[in-house]
Amino acid sequence: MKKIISICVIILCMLSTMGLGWSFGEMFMDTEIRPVYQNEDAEFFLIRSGSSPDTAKEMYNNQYVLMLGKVKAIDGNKKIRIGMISEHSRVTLTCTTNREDVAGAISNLHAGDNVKVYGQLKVGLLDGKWNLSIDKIETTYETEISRTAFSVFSGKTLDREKLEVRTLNQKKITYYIPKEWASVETTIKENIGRVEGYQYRLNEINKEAVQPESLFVFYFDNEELMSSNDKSKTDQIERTIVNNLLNDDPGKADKSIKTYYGATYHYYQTAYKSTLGKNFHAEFIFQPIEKDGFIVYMYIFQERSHIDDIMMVLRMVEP
Amino acid sequence: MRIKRNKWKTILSLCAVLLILAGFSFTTPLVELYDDTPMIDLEAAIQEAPYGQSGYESHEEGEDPDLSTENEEQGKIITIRVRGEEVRLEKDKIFDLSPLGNRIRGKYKTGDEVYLVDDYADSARYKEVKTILEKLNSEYGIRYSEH
Repeated sequence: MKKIISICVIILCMLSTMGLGWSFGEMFMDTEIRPVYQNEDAEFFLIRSGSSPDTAKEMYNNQYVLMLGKVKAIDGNKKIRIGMISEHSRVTLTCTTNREDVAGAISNLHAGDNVKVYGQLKVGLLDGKWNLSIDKIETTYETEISRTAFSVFSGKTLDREKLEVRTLNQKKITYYIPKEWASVETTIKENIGRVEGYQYRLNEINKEAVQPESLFVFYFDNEELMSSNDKSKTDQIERTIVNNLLNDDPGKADKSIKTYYGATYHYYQTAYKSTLGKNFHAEFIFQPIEKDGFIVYMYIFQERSHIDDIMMVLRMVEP
Repeated sequence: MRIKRNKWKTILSLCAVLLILAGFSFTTPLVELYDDTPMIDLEAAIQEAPYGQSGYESHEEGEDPDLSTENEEQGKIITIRVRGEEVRLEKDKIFDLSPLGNRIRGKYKTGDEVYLVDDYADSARYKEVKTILEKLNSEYGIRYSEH
């Protein structure tokens, strides 16, 4: 019996070294681990959900939001109801949690406090009632919130109205970058390659003394494929692109998801070895754009110092 | 003998099941592109020229960063001149700058002034050399000026 078990273990080890279905571990650009919260006003949400339930469901169901509201009632330390900042309405949104740290924060709240609630909105299938599942809650003096802004768990916020616009694929794809990214931006086609897109040398922002940290955003046009029959072979195209850049076929994708904001992402995680022999993490997201091509995000880093900004930039892409 | 035979049958069956589950036989080929050249030149894109002291690799002990004039034609080299003798630092070569500081100290005589000459393309390298000169100034009283 021991022999059988030993042989099975050896075979499993052999399979794992062939890279069959085993991932490196955490994906750093994983939207399920690092959600981005769209800023929302409880007043706007409650009016919309009350007057147009179907529209509200389409807009908000499963979305991560940072909701600004006023505490109307506290029902124990794992459930509160928030309403509009203005006093005019008694309509409320139920917010609940299973997290002990959030329960601790709720225990310090009082009715009448203005709060910012980070969490995920879901509408009940049967009763149509909304619930905001709380990731984080904090009191605030703010009475207004910019609905064009996005935030991350740390509290960092980017307002799309204040960002710089970039386009790809004959302006069919739009994305937004913080102003400081523009100062460390390189156009790929004019300088370092032949695809349409940009490199952001993030470690050079504010002249930080760290190893290179770069995000590349570019468009791969399926017209580059020698055979038009290959346009539907999504995973093979993705592997071909990674192989072209790193001279390494990564095998099948480490993860494939449809994000809460509707984007389809295929993740690959591998490594880049520099000319000086240093190893960097190399993480790819491929976002298919129908059968026309892909938006490719390639993140090369040792320290992921700008991951919050990257997640917000990804969230705001308009394909 | 029968028990042995059954054991091996079990082992082989397990192997077959594992291989099928892992999809061992399904490795699809890559697609062909019109242009096989790299889409992005990562060597050019990922420049390891960090600011400050971190990330530098040392030369062998005793090796001096004073270099030949080969790179003069490239322009954009930084020069330190002590008592008429110049030390030129090659633009892209990475090395430990502490031998430079020791060399300057070795050559310096009271009353001399070290000149930091030539504006350098990469402000990071200029700052690092200037940091060494500032340290020499504060610790050993060596004067320097920028040109």
